[in-house]
Amino acid sequence: MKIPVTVVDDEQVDRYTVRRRLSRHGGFRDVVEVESGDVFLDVHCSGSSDIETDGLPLLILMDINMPGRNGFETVREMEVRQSRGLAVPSIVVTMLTSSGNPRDKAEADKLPLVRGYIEKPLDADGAQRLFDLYHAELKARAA
Amino acid sequence: MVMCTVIDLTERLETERRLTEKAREAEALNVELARFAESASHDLKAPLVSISGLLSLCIEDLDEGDIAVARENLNKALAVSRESAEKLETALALARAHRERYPNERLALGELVRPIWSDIVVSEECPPSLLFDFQTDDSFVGARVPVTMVLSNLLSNAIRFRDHSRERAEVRVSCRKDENHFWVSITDNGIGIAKRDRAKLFRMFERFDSRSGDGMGLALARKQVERLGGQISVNSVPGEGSEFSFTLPLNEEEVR
Repeated sequence: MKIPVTVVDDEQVDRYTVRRRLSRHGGFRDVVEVESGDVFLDVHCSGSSDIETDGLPLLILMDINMPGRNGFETVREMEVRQSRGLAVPSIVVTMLTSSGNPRDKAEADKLPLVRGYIEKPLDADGAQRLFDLYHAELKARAA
Repeated sequence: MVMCTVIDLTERLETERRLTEKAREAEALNVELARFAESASHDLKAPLVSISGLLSLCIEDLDEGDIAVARENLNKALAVSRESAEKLETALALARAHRERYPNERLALGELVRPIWSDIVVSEECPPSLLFDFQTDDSFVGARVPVTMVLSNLLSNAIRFRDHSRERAEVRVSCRKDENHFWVSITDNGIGIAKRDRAKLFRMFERFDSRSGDGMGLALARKQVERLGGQISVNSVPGEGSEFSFTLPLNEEEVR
C-alpha cells in the first residue's frame, strides 16, 4: 500500500524537493501539488475533490508561511469544512516548514488535525518519519 | 501667621509629559524592531532551506551519474539564491530609509510618473491605460529618490493586481493641494483588497496572494512617506479597485 499525499506550499522549489524525496522513499504515491492554502480549500474542500485515496486517509504536508491563508488558518478552515462534509473525509496533516519557531510548534500542537511537525528541507530521514507517522496513525485509528 | 509657598510646576509637568512621550515612542520602535527581526530571519532563512534541499538532491543525482538533472537543479538553486540576494538588497534599503538624507528639489508629478510607468509596462503585452487627473499645478518641492521609490511601488502594484476579467484596466494618477499638503492618489480598477488584509498591508513581509512580491514594497513606501513628513493610506472595494493616497508637506516657500 502506497500513501496518498498532497503538499500545500507556495514555493515551487520546495514542492519539487518533496516530490523527489517521497518518490525516492518508495512508500508514497505521486505527490499532488497545491500552491496555496486558499487553492487547497477551494479545489479540494468545497464539496468534491479529484484526489484518489481509495479509502485511505490523505496525508497532507502543510507549509505555514504562505500568501493568503497561512497553514494554520487553512487547517482550522479544513476542520470546519470537514464537519460540514465538504472536505476530504479522512486526513492526516503534518506541518512542513522552514520555521523552527517554538511558537509555531506550540500552535501546531493545539490543532487536532495536525499529527506532526517537520522542518524543511525534507530529507531521507524526514520521508521515513512521515511514513512511520502515517502508519502509526493508521494503527491508532484501527484500534 | 500663615506662610505660603508657590512653586510653578508647569515646566516640570511639561518635561514629564515629554519623557512619557519619548518612552512610548521607544516602546513602539522596539515592537517594530522585534517584528522586523522575526520576519526578516524567517524570510531570509526560507530560501536557504530551499537551496539546501536542492543541493542535497544534486549530490545524490551526481553520485548516480544523473548529470542533466543535477545541472537543472543547480540552476534552480542559483535562481533562488539570486532572488534572495535581491530581496536582501530591498531589506537593506528599508533599514537605511530613515537615515539617508536626500536633497529637496522642485519636481513635477507627471514628469516623475511617465518614465517610471514606461519602465514597468515594458514587459507587459497589454498594459493598463494611464490617466492623469491633476486638480492643481503638479509641481512640488520634495526629494526625488524616495518619492520615485514610493510612486514606482504603488504603480507596479496597480498593474500587478489588475483585474484580468475587465475589458479595460486603468490606473489613474491624481493630485491636489490643500493649505499644508500636496496630495497624490494612485487609483486602479483592479481586484481590490479584502478588508481583513488592509490592516496588515503596510507591514514587513506580509504577502496576500501569489501575485505579491517580496512583501516589502508597501512597507518601504510607508517608511519613505513618513520620513518625508507625510502619511499614506488605502481605500479599496474588492472587485472594484484600490486607491492609495499619500501626502507630502508643502514647505513654507510653497505655502506662501
